[in-house]
Amino acid sequence: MDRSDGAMQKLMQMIARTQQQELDCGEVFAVLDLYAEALLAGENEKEQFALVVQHLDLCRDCLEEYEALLRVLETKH
Amino acid sequence: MTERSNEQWVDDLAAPGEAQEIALGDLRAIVLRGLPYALSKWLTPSDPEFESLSEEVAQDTLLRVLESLHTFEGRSKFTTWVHKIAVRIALTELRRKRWRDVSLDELTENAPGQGPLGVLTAHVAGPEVVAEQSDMIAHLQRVITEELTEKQREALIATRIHGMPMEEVARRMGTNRNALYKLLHDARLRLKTRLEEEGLSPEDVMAAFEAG
Repeated sequence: MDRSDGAMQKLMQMIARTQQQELDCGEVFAVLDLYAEALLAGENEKEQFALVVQHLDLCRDCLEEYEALLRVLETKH
Repeated sequence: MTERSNEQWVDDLAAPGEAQEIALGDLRAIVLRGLPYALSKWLTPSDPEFESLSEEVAQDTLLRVLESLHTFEGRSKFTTWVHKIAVRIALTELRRKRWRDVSLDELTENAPGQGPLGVLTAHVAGPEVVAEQSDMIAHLQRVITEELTEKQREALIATRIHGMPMEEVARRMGTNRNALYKLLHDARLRLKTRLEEEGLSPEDVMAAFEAG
């Protein structure tokens, strides 16, 4: 199974999005609940949490966790 | 179930006793209600592993909540904070189970006939690779070899090509997720700097592969 289709393109995209200062997964985890609540409250979350957004663009694991948290919160039970 | 404010949650959970017992029971129910939604991308409640995974996650979450209660700053709703912890525990465990039998070596060793970086640049272009593109491929391979350590190349291949989760790669490399992220960040920065020094933007590189 060919898993490298577009690998170079993806690498280049990642390089394009790379910044000097980035948060690590722990730093993002620390504020993930705040970010999710800001989104759900309709606040300007992408501005406030620009570094979080940037990390989520580059870290699939954190993005999955964020989306999972949103699914939990959006279903009000 | 009583509705609690953040302060009430923290007060009730702070010390062993009846209030803590009741609060833990309530929290457990809250976590269990959320898990089907958290895990919906991978599992449904009718999957055989769902129930035992949920139990395990709920237990570990309650333990983690008690351990880290002092770190809760009240900047979000307490239950949001708890759901965050539960999601992290659930997905970590799910990933661990899914990747249990995969070794790092089998992902990062060379395919026959390829150098160590072949996997990164194989199949980028179609079967008729134009001379320019093969020059670009060779160049990129050289850049990657020169700029990155062996560990960085391994980590890149495992996470990016094979989609191995961060914690799974980190554990096999004897490190942790944050350190791995920093390792990859450093790798990306090195590649970015090197390409900039050569006057090549990532867009230039991508365009070279789209043409023809």
